Amino acid sequence: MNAELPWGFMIVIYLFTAGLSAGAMITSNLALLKNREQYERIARWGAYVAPFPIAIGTGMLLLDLGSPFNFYQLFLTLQVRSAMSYGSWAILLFTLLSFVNLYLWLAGTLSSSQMASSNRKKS
Amino acid sequence: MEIRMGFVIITSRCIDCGACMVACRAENNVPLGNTRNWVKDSGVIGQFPKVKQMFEPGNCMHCDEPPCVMVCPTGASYKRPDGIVNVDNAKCIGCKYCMTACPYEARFINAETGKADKCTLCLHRLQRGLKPACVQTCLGKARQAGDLNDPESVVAKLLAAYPSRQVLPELGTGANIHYIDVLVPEIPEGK
Repeated sequence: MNAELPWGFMIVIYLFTAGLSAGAMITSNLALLKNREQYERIARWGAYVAPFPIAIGTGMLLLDLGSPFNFYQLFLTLQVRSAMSYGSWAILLFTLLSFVNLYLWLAGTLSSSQMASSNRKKS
Repeated sequence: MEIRMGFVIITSRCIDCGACMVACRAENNVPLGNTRNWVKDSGVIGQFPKVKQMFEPGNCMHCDEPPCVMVCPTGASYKRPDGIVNVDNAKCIGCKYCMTACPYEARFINAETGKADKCTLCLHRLQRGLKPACVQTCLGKARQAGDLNDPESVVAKLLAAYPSRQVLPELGTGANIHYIDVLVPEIPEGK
């Protein structure tokens, strides 16, 4: 039997960009948890980077489909025995989450100076 | 008992003429470069003067436990109550996951429709009471299709009378092409 996979270069790009995004997100949040004041720059840049590679990767996934305009069918259902069904929901939620995270950083809600000032207001 | 559609293929009656592939292509409008069915050639087996050659026609096995249906993320691949594994083109997104899952490589992406494509057991012909195109055209009567659970059908009679085998039974797919390798001098009468 032929051992070749029907998935090609597009999927390779997607796997790389998804890894990049996930890594940026994890690094950003670990830095926040470890020491907010000391690692804030790392946390900030992680949040700035995270949404964009996965957005490109998702575009690649769409282009790899035989019927790209039918992609919404993925989000009308959850097939409990299909890894790809879980995966597509995970990508959707992660991408949305990473954009929310980026927005919170841009708006300054997550930066330490802002936190400090809001804490001061409380006390 | 419930209907369980499947094939019985008698390899000793196949002469590798390729008529089943031509008939399927014509019947189902399969694009060039792809095929829904095939004839595998064993090559020459053994040493002269004791040599033999075997042909093994095949197509979608319409498995009892189809891996392609399990992995489909949209539910486009489904198994009908009568056992036929089919693709709902309205739901198919062409992700190729089913092609990865199928151990028989029975599927391909139809470049004209952008959907996963495979043997439908000629559903449109069955509904009119006709045999599948490949079965109809097979000049050696090597290909037989019908309800495996109906004792009056040709396929059930053949399976009762001769030893048969499946391809890759160790995978637990419950493939519903049953191959008979021994000589079958006469095809029994039946539905």
